[in-house]
Amino acid sequence: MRLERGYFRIRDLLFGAETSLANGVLTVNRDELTRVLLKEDENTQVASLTLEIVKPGEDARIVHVLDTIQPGVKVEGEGEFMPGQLCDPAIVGTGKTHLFANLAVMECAELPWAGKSALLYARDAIVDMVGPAAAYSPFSETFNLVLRMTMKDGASDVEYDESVRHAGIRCARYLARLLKDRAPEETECFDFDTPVDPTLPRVAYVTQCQNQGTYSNTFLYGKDVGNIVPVSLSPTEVMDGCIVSGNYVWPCFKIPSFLQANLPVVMELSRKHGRSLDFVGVVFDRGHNNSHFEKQRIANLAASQVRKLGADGVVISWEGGGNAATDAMLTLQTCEKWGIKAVAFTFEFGGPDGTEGVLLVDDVPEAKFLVSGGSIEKPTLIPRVKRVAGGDALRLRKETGGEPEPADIERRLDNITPFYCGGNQSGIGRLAGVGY
Amino acid sequence: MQKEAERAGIPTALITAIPSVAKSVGVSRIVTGGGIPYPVGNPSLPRDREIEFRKRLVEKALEAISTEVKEPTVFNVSL
Amino acid sequence: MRIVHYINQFFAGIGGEEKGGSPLEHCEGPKGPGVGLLPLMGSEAEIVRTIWCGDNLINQEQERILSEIEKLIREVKPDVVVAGPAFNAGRYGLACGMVGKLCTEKLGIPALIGLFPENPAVEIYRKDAYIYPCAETAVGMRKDLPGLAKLLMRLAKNGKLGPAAVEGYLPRGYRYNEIVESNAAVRSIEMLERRLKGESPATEVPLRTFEKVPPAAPVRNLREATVAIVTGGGMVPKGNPDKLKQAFADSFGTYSIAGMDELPVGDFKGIHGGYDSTWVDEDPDRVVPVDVLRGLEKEGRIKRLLNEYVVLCGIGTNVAMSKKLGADIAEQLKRKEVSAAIYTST
Repeated sequence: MRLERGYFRIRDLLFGAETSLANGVLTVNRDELTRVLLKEDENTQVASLTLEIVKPGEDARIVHVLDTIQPGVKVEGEGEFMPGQLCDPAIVGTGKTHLFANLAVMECAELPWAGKSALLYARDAIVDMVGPAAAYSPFSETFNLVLRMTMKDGASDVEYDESVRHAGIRCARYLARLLKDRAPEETECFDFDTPVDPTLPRVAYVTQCQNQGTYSNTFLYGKDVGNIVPVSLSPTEVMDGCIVSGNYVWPCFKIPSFLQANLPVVMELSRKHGRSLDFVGVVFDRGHNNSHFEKQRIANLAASQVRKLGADGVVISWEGGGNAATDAMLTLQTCEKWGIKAVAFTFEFGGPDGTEGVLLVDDVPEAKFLVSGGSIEKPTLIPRVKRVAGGDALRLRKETGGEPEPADIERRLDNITPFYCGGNQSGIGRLAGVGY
Repeated sequence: MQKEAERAGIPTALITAIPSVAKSVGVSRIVTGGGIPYPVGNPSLPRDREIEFRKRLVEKALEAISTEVKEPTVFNVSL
Repeated sequence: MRIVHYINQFFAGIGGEEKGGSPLEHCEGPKGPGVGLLPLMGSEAEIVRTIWCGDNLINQEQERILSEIEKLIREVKPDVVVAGPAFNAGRYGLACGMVGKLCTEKLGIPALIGLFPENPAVEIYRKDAYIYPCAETAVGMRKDLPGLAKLLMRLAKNGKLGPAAVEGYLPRGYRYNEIVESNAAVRSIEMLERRLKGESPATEVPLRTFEKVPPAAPVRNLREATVAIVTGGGMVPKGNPDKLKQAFADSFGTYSIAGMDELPVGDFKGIHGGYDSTWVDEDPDRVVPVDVLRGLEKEGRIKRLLNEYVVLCGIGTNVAMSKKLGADIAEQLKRKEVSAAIYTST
């Protein structure tokens, strides 16, 4: 497969009379877009939708963040960017795709908490644009078009989930249309058709997602992956958004759609392909399997895919906490047993100074080569901010009532779990645990 | 938690779906349970069979507690 | 840079094992390995005093000897104290550790110790002073001194050292989040590429090690036993009256099951944030098996099911807190004369 990606960077985002892109400034007709999104909400679960703009460096905080999407459009080649999402599940990864490099569409809503399972509900997720927590999320550096939504009462989780996702995707596509007939400022070409130097080491990537039910799901070509058996995908398919996230349960443990289409390991390995290594493919599966037997089964099947790709080495990462770590560690163990060298990256625990107990929930003796994604057990003092987008209040601690609390004030959070992407599970963050 | 009970002289057994984690942590008596969200059960069985399964798991746990062990040991029950 | 050096009877030239009881002594200026160390440190460095003691004596009379050493160090106001290198010598290593700890805890003077990484003193004193990894025996002295000297000078100048991996001392166990040069994805690929070249790059995250606790003696006669249930599965009375946390537990709840043949559906709910509680909400006995144990009690297979169970949510709880909660729970079980307990986890 061969794919050319064209990037467009904006230098400002505004509301204005007409939706347009000129001289790096993206103007959005707020009323028109709002109307379009509400009209197309076929479940009609969205009670209200307000578009908000949040810019990098702004003294602002965004709350209730659910999924975050990159506006992109295919200009050549089969299928659409994010195939299977309100369109045919055509196999993507060829031709040309145009993308906004630094613009993100954020779905924000307070999804109902009442009567939910103790795992499956959207815990409040925070993105700080400035201050010490800005480093926890890559979206403190993007122009964010926030869809602040409120939902009608009385519907089911499946309906709410679909409504917010469809609103986000439609908004992203509305904006991406502007890129269709334009020449990109910057392009990257990825060629996985032409054979490379056979002496180069062959490397695969295992990306293990979360899928434990509505609000914690991940979608492959438009369908959630509850019973998925590990599958191998071409790097360019992944770049064209065939993996979309509907995972809102733990803010720190998630890889939103924007990052799923730009997985740093996929991008970096693709850039090295043909030069210092042969990137043989991506293996996609899910963790959190319910018994040791099922975990071992999926681990073995994933390792088997890695072996079938002919990999000499593999990078492994996962979405989720301890339960998922076990599946990934078993995958690593099987790879190592078969002589495939494995490196994984992971968040750590360790407490505020690293000395409290163990760093990892689970490991295997073969996990001798690990990279740190940073500890999630560090307290963070977040500052008072001028403005809050996405909502007005924070809902923390559902298990003790989940009362709303002011979102703009200074506050000390005991650990990094409420921060969007704080667990650094795509590997995009430069926060790491450093030993002293 | 469990090791502290052992330290105090109370024999214990753990029913868990992930015996490997328990073993590496050093829990002495481990019974492989039903599944992570239902350690002492199995919703895919008809109700009376599930209770029968639960009984076998608990009995195995009691058997483990009555058994001398030297190192982390996993006890299994057939479905 | 004023430096005080601690060594033992052997390196002071007094004698070997047989002189382990030799008294605490000192001299001004360098002695033994200090003589080799000093020229490696540049003109600003001065070993103002060397202190030594018999390895057996300092281990046997720690308090007295250390308080003497404290005086000897205070007198000369050093910027830094160095002890050893003790290589893999057990008692000498412990002595160096004690001196290091004395400096950082009581004197506020940074200390550097030279030890072989597997010297038992390392685990005990790892946090109390910086440890420079040395060879296993004194044969490695020549190779080790330059590195030790360099680190000692840095410590004297700055009062503390940077990251362990960068400076070259043994990690003391502290870990802090810092923004590093490249992201985790890039570093993972770099680490893998080095492995594929046949190298053995250092891991960024050490694996877990757990304390071994010998198992308690088994129950002799189940028919005489009082059995209790303890769960990490977060099943609590509706409304979570004690406000237990869904993760990072710092307390546990104890709830009555007196007179119950099973945990009544609806009166109890799962609040654990790490698994889908739908199944246990449907049937709480799937995580707190009251029904079966009550049945066994009625059959006489066990004497008694304790009339209360203990619960918390086992996710993310660090080991230190788990130990504390575990010990408190164990104490409570002992008070209620429990003979055995069944734990369940999710």
